[in-house]
Amino acid sequence: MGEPLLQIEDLHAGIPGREILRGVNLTLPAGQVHALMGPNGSGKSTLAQVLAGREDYTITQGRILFAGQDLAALKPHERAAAGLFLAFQYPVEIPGVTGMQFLRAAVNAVRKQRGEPELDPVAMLKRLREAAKLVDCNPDTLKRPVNEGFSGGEKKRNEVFQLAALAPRLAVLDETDSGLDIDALQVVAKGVNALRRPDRAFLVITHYQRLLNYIVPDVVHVLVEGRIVKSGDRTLALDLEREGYAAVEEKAAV
Amino acid sequence: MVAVAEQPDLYDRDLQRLQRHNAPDWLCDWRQRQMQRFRTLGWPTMKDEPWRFTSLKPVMDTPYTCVGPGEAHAAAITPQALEAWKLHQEGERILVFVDGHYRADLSSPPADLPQGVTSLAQALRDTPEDVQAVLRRANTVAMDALAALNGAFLLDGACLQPARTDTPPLLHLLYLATSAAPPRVSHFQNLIVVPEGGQITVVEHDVSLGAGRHWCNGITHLLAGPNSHARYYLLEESNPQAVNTRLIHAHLDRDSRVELHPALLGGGLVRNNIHGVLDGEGSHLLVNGLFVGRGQQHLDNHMRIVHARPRGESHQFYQGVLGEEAQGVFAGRIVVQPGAQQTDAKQTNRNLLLSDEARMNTQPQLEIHADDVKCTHGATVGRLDQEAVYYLQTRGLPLELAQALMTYAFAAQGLNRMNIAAVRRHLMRQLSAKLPHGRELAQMIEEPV
Amino acid sequence: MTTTDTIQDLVPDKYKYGFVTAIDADTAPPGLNEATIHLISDRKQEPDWLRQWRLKALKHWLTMKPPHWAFLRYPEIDYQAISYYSAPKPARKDGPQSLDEIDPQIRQTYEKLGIPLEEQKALAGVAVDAVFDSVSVATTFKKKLAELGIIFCPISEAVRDHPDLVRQYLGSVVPYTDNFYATLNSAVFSDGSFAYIPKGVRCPMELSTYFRINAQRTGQFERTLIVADEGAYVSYLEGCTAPMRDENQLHAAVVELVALKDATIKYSTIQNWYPGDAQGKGGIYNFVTKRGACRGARAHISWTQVETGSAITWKYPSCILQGDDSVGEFYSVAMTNHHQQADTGTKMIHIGQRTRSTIVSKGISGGHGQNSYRGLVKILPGARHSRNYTQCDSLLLGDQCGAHTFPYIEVRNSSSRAEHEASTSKIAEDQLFYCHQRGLDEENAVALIVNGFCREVFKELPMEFAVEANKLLAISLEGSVG
Repeated sequence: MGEPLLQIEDLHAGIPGREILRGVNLTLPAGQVHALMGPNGSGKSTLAQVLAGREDYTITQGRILFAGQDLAALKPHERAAAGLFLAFQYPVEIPGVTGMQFLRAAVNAVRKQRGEPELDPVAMLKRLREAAKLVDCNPDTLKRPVNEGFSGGEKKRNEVFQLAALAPRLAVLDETDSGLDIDALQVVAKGVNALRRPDRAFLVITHYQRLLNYIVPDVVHVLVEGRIVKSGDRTLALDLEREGYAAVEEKAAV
Repeated sequence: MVAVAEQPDLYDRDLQRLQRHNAPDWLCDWRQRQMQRFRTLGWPTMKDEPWRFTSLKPVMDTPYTCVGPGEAHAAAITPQALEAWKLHQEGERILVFVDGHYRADLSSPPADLPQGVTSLAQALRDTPEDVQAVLRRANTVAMDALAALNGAFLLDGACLQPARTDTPPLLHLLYLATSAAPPRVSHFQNLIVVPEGGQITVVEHDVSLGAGRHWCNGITHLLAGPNSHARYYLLEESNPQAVNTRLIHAHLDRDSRVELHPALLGGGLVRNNIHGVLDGEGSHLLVNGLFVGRGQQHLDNHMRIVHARPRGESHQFYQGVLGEEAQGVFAGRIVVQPGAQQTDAKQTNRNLLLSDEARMNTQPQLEIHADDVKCTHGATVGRLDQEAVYYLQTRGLPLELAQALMTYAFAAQGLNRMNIAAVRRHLMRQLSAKLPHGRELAQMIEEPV
Repeated sequence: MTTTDTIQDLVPDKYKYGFVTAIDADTAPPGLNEATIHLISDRKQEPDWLRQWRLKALKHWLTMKPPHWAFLRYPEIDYQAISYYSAPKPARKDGPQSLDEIDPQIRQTYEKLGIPLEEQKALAGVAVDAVFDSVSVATTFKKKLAELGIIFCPISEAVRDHPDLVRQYLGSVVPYTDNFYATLNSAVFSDGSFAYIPKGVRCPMELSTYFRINAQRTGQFERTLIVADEGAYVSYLEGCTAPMRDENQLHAAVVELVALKDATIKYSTIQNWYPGDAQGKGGIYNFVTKRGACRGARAHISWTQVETGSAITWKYPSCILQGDDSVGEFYSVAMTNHHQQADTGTKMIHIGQRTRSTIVSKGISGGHGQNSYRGLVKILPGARHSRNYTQCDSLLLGDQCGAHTFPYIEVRNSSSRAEHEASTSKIAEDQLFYCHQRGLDEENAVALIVNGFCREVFKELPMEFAVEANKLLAISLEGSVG
């Protein structure tokens, strides 16, 4: 096991008047893929948003360490620069801004924050083409406004493409599989697998076991009512599918 | 504005005569003040922005006279004659007015009317303080000269303040206008107050008893209490000589839902003002306008929707169909006041021109002073989709019938937003009668009862 | 931090063109009467017909009242307190004979503004006419253009050298009786640019005028006239700046375009007059009449404007589509911040058959800015089978600003079609968050989104201007974050 890249300790968070995460503990070493499963409303997406730093959520207790650094002090764009990437469950449309403009702005903003020189347009294009190839994505996407008029599948593929272009240390995939047909799912999974590296970790949030047939996790966590009630290897996901969350909840309660 | 030179003596004489009908002092004062305001404001002219496309000259030049209660002396109208105008909807209660005056003898028996439903004249006698209070609340919107003139002749109309009930009746206000010499004007007001959580459905129906000129200058105030639901239909079906100038003012308290469905099919010169104020959080207003003109009809739709509180939702649809030499006007403005955050307002005006002599002027407007809003508007003016007409022809419909069907389908988008089947059926018949091949069309489209 | 806070932090305070050039100027005393007209005409040694035309305009103007229908609030302007003529004193009485003789102070001014007047330094493919207060101080590439028969010179020079052309077209699109400000301009216009593209000639470079107000308490009243003869093509650029001053200065220009059969005129403006300070003090009152006539079949006039400056903008570049199959276009970005107010839009008058018009308007309001789109689409009975498409979008960057849309659509035949769509929204929180998650800070995220919002208009600008427009918007959004 490598150094923990992400360490979540007794995390309590929520929106005013409602605590959603109620003591989450999770350790994710570099090089590994962890799956986070759970029924609707268990707090999966909240955890993703809290990791990315969405201001609607407040951390009331506990902390998140990312490569040893407390995330609480960082704004969303600083987290991105530190190497945290969130693939959105509902990718946002940005009318009029082409994929190229967007990624150029993003890649260079991240490089600038890290003190690296900005890429000139030629180098940028090369890099984006490589990224597109890596995840088997049509580079023509770059000419279209970000996510505007994209189908559900196209949006999710575009998230994986951005993931490839920004090359983060931790990628959080928030229900990237939901709403995808099996073909689109395979393309997305293939892209993610191509991006697995020893110094990169993935937290794959999903409601369905299906995705894990294609992205094989090292560890599966089950989140119920804001707490991780069970962790195990990938067979846990199969158990869940067979027996349902209720059974796991009962077992966990015992 | 022009000075009120035309018919001044006539209006004054009418007012003096009417003031003698034992009106209490406050009412006489009120009328006098409104007349004064009318004088100050003067007739609007086409130089005034809200009247850019509509001239009131024909009204100014005609000696319309206002008759008092009991002066109407209309030709005998039998209850049987009313059948043709009834909607035949279960729970329908009818209140009949002739030249603006309530006629108990023609209306549903008082015992059948819900508590709190009466004529304005009656309410002015029985509960004047109540009426005064409503008038004070209602008169918060900016009123133009015509509204002032209406106020000067505040005599009668409907006063609807029903208590909360689970099965509210459909209140059908039938306004009959006679043809007389000199021609008559009726200045009535409908005061509708919906209590908290209450429901009401009102159909106001304007028809002519003859083919001669008359002028109807009516105001409806609809005050919707918290969490109430009101549906208001205006069916304008008077003769092509008629002038109809209206103000429909809806005031929405929090969480209330109000539907306004003005359908302008008749009348020669029609100006319909809608003024909606979303003055409570989370209120919802639907304005579903339909105007269908032919001949030389001039149909002017003015609408002003004010979002004064957060989380209001307003949707406005106006469908216009203009044939022959008809002229249509639509001027709608959505105003979002500072602080009315999370407003969702949508305005759509679609117009169909059936002839080269028909004209349409449309001005959909947004005036927005808050930032967290979603507002859109759209307007189109065009003709029938020739492809679709052709398609129907290839399926065996003669050209004219194909066009009539397409025209009907266009207008029906407005009908489909009306959820009272009897009104829909009624309008369908009126509409198909206005189109060529009316009878065949009516058979094709008749809704099963 | 909410979007509103963010934007307010990003609100601009920097007007980079606010410096004053210390220069010896010949300025008329304030006031407007017949003597003022004579003074202007004398200084410019004008022919009598023009003097008489000015006098007629003045006489008519005295009977007029300023219009009040626009959604603008400002105090009454005292037209007698303004000076109607100001010109830098030339070293030589007959004016500079070559670009080398231009006052070095003025030359420096234009260099500071990024408009070098030396041809070798100039942007490749752009000929510039530089107007400083009331007069044109330099025109570049004149010789090269003359070889093609293209006339590009100050209008005062055109009055002298090409009187027939000027007389034929001046006031033919915007008559001297047109409106309060256009009539005022007709009476006192000082200088401006004149361009004539002969039959069948495609102008090989962008023609450009750069307007600069320098003097205090003066109004600027330039007049531009562009004529594209049959089959000609020209792309014309206009830029404007002014020093930062506490008082409001009046700018009332008139632009007339004439496109004959098969001719195309593209007219682009970047208007960056001084907008006043954050409290709304000072700034230019910009009352401009711009109108183009498509006089022949298949004529094409396209207006593109990026309006970021001025305290008040009142401006409706219009197209009169007389020729059959002629085309009118209007692409506009208007940004109002602080206490700026803009009431701008267009008029498309369809007269010929199968005429087409497109309107794309993007309004951005921040601070206490008020931004109104006002547009008229009129399709006359004879304009059969005509089409209009209008799209107006407003973006709100704060809760103290306003965005308004006032279209007027008048259709008078049944074979034509007019479509209008409008929307008003703010930058969505989730858009900002999405950008942040990809590493962009507030400032960059907002700039990127605003840029995307304006894309449809920017892509209509010539390359050199598109870059400048982008920078301008970025400056307008520049602030303290990061």
